[in-house]
Amino acid sequence: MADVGPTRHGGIRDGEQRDEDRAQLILITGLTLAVIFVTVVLLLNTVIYTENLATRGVDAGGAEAIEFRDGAVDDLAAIMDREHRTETSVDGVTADFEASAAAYANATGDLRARDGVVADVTVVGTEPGHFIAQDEVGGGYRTLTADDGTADWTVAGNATRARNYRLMVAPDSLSASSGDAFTIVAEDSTGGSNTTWSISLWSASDPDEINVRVTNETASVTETFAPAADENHTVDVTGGTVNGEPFDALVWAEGVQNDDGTADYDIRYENGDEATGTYHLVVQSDDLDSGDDNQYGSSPSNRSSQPYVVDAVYSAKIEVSHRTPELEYGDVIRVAPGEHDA
Amino acid sequence: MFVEHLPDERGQAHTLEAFAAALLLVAGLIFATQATAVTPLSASTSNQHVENQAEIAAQDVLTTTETRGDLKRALLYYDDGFVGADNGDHYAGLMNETHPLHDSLEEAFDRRQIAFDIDVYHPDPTAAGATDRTRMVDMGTPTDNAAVASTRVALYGDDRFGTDDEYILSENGSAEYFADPLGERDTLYTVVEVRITAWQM
Repeated sequence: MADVGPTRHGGIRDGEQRDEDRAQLILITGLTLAVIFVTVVLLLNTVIYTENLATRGVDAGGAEAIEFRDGAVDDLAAIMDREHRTETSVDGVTADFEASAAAYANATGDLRARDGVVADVTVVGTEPGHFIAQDEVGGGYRTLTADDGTADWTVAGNATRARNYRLMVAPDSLSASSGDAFTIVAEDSTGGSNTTWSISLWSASDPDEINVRVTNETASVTETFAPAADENHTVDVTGGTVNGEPFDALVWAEGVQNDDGTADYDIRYENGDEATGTYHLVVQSDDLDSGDDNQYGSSPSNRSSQPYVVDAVYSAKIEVSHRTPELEYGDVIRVAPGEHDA
Repeated sequence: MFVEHLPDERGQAHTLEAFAAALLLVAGLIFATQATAVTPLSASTSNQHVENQAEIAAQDVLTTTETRGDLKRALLYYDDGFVGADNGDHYAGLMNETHPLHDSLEEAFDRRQIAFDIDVYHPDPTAAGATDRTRMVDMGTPTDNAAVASTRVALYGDDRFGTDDEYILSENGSAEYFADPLGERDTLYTVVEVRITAWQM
């Protein structure tokens, strides 16, 4: 190694003096190396830290906006579901729904403002509908007949759409054969094409189980389902499930209801005396009880009669906006909870 | 002779001295870095992970409990203060086992020694744009590196609250419940925001 050390005062550089200089050199080299290692470690850590910071939360908050939209849709659907049950004002159910939606928009707007977000939900349009239901009465289930006891009757006339149609039947009330089974029929009421769609329910060979047959214009599919935990059978007619199990063939009013909701059809019950239970549905119809005035009892809004019908909101269009400094998000969504293609 | 040999011995002593000095300096540097940079709360690589993890955990707890309905049950588990509260009207730590949020919070935070506050913000109907805060869980003041997650829950007039669900919001809410109703309407009672603040202890 070349001697790069400074010459000692006096300039005497014999062998012994050179050894003393080299010890100092080793010391300095060691120190320098130690400092370099520590610096490199710190530098690398800083690089990783910077990278971590740079890649954290780089999205503009799109997930937050989507979450807000989904939450608003869910909550407004829940409001819509409750509104026809709690209708109190004289303004009608649509005005009630709009007022509740405005209160919801106000409250969420205030809460979102805490995070520096300008959020709003506005109802831009609603479609009226009718809520038809039969509840549990006096500690028991009633047969699925009209108010006057007619077994074959029209539940809803001139319907264009139906949603949130759920039916619960007691297993011991069902017919044993398919011949006189309780059947829900959706039939084209314009008379032109006269297409029909139906779903029949009857007891399977094991009396606890249920046979469900769905018949459309071209095919008929029958399947057997085990009972749900409460031993009753629940058919989500528009949701396409029986006792929570999906039933692929169960597509509400397939071939009868069209996508734009312009084809009128009647929803009829056949052999309503062959089943007891409860049901509810929301239909969109301009002329609900044409040709049959006795189906819901004397007054159309009489909840004490079974079945009963009250005004409801069939669907609503809501406009959602969510604004942050990074991202402006807006969407218009149609809310119709429990609709088949929703 | 003596004069000639002396420089050799001094060189060895200097070398030893140098090693000792180098060791001292490096030890000092190591001590300094240990003392300042590498704790879970200081700005470092590991802290970022801890913070990210806590935020994701908090958001996940809110999402899953909201979907399951446990979050709403917890909000409605209120009778003159949250039921089973050990510190006035709110919880000072993890709730007892019968509480709907117990399992989720234990798994996400308590078992990992992460402290959390849960605050419920609700609109104040008497002043436009104002919100009030009600504490559900208060474990103390969060550190600067705490993670926050929030979600909104709508409460409806037909929701029942109390120890045994004995009250109905639309009837008893304005007198007994911590959040005031938005208006006279019986469908939507109010909308609350649940906010979890989580930090490493």
